[in-house]
Amino acid sequence: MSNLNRLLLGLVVCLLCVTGITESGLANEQKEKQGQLEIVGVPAQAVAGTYYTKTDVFYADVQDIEGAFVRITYDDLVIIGRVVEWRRKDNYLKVTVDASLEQKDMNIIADQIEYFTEEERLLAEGNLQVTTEDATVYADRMVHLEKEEKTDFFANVAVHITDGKLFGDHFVIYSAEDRMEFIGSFRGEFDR
Amino acid sequence: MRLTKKRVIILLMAILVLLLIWFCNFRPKTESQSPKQEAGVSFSNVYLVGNESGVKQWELVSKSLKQDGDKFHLDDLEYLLLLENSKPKYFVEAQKGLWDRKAQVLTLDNDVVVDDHKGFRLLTNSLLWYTEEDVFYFHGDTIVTFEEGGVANE
Repeated sequence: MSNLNRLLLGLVVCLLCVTGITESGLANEQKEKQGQLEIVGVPAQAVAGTYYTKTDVFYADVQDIEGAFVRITYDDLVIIGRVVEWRRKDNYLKVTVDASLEQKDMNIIADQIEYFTEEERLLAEGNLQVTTEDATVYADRMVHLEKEEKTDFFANVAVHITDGKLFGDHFVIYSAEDRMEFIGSFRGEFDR
Repeated sequence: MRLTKKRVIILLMAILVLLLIWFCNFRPKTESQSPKQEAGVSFSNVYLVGNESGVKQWELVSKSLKQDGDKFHLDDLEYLLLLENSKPKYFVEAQKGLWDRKAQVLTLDNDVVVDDHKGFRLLTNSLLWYTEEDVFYFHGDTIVTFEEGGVANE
């Protein structure tokens, strides 16, 4: 094979690689995130919710219907509750009354769970209990940033680990690095 | 008293008048035996439009419409289209509907679907549209599927 042929072959391979990378990048960018909201256990004649057609605000309230609940599935998130407010224009979701969230590595129980779908920012507060693979965390409120894989817990934080309990005011979990840390002072109680 | 010819005629006439009065007032009613007429007016291939300040807000197409006072029965509803700024926003399908003109409420039943053709789709069994409040009330188990950003960037 002459040098010219080798050069041409090399150019073609490079072009194919570049094209492939660009197309895959575009495909990822264009991928739409899909979700589903189900209102379950509501008798046929009972009002399950409302939808305001001008403002695109969706409400579901099934707290007075025994056994009824709302389940939202979004990517790898499953959020369950009995009262849901969904402001579509703001990409904002608020779930209250028996609210819980399940994710691949984290389960949340709280009085209120808010999720900003575009930013992938999650807020939870009130009787908060978060269970991860390594610990169970109690706090007044939490902020989870999905893109940064970081979760902050604020106020009255109690972390229950296998052989002890840790108490402080600001606790952070860095999921990607598999690391946890307290910001500021904290107190520990360990089992012998 | 002797029955003269004149008296007999007067007596017969009186009896005849009494019979006539009885017949007019107390004759058996025959209406229930005839086929019952349905109230109101029926139309086929109906196209209804709702305007606000001269701007079209919605349109409704139905193969049949039966009027019953202030209520309109839409037994073969094709679609309801809600518009915003004269552009289609929500396409609503159902098997049948009832339009209460006085209350300004449209009740839709049987496999109701609200679709914005941008990724939002609501499925329910029964839906009430309060036109003046621009709000849907949905009943029973309901499913919504959606794609992120369907309305946010408009």
